[in-house]
Amino acid sequence: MMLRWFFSFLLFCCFAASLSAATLTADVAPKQLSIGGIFGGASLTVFGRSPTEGDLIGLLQGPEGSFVVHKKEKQLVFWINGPSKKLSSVPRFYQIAATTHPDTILDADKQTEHRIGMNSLFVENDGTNKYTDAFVRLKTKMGHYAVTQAPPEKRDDGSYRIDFTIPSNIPTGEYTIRVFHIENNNITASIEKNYTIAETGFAQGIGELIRGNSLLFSFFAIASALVLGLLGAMLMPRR
Amino acid sequence: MDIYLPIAGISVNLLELLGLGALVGIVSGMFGVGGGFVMTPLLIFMGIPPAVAVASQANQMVGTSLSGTLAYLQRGEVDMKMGFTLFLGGMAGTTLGGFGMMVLRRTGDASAVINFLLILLLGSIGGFMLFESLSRNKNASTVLKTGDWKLPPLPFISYFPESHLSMSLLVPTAVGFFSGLLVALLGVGGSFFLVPVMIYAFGMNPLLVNGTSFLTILLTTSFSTVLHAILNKTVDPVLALVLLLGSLLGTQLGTRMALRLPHEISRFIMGAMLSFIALTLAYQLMHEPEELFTLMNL
Repeated sequence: MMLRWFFSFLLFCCFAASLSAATLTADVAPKQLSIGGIFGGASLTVFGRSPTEGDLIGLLQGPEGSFVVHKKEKQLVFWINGPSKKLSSVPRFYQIAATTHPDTILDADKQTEHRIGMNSLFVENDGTNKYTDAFVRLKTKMGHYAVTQAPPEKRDDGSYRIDFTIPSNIPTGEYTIRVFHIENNNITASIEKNYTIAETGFAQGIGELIRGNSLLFSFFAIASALVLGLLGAMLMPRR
Repeated sequence: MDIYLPIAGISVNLLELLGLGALVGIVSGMFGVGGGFVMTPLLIFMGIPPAVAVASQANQMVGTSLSGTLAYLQRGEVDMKMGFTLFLGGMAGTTLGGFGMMVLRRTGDASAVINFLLILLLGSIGGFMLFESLSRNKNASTVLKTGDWKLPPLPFISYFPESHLSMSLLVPTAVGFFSGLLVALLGVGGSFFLVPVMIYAFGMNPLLVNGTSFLTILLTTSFSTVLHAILNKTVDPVLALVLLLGSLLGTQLGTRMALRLPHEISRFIMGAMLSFIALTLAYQLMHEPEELFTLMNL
């Protein structure tokens, strides 16, 4: 009898959990983001439905890369690069939006586990905090790491929207959008979407050419400068 | 309006970039130099990565030097043999500079080395020009004359028929080598260095000097563009073309302004401008930066 009750309860829990997960949906607008020619930045909106209670955290995370953080030191009279630290597998872009500050709704371990918050991004934590702090500071200055200007907007009907700001210098590549629903220090539901930010048109062609055939690219670069120089010489001859 | 620079990977204001090109064009037109020494530091101030600034600047100079070369060729004022001999050395210098830049980018020292070399170069030339323009006003006997710098006797003597000169091939090759180094490491064409050397050291006819300098720069910057594209992948043609467009427009304005400006005053302004840029760069290198850390993509 007890066993039957236990399995019924377990079944209910699974059903409740699946119901909870099902209540978090997400879609993105625009469907894709292309950079090329004239690009002064953009906005990315994630929207969907979520449980009316609890908090939401949204993340826009860029492709990972490796970086070297140099610390400048005074050598004789000049300030030049001194010791450095390599940081591997770090997102090139990271933007976070939260209805309430993550530290107040989710403990540090869970934040680290799900890479929520800028301090959770570093694998290396061997006493090199000054370098990781500097990395976050420099990336923030570049506009690559940020907390969104406005928190996620939750409505009474269960719909929500999160607006991410895309700066004009955003790195291209495969991005991940994640939305977490938090209640009582627990992630009760989460959803993940892949998103591509790519160069398009001329910019894409230039990038592919220099990576694929740099000799041909250099001839193209020289030829275009020669053509423009020739046009200039014809239209505006030197005296 | 922002324009996306695909190799620099950033967007910059199109009008600012055109304005910068025009400013450098005005300098070029007024003082008869390429203006790369002004362009490179200003691009770095704008936030363009130093390696991209240097390489794209070389690409831009291909276009600006073409119009000068064509104009002087039409008048028959180019020493072709001298130009190609200078280019021979220029290829070696550019190759060394291109590899040097590759190493500096990997170690993260490109910015400091570029700034340091610019300080040395601009400081010494700017100081010399200031000194010369001031002393020219006081004492005409201090003015240098054609062929005043004596060269040591060297082997491989060759005759340059257009300039009616005999000299060791090693001399223009060495000068071209240094010029190539400047192009590859600083994005500077080197006319401010080539022109006085050709006049005062080679003893060339001043009529042939500007055209020969333009030809050398055209060849060296083309070679530098190829090398930077292959070794460092830092040539941004969009950046180069926008700068070139601004520069072509500015040069016209600068040329007209030069006609109204006495030679001594224009040299003084040029010297003061170079010295100011050198001092600004020196201050940046010697003053404790607000941000002690720098970031490099791998």
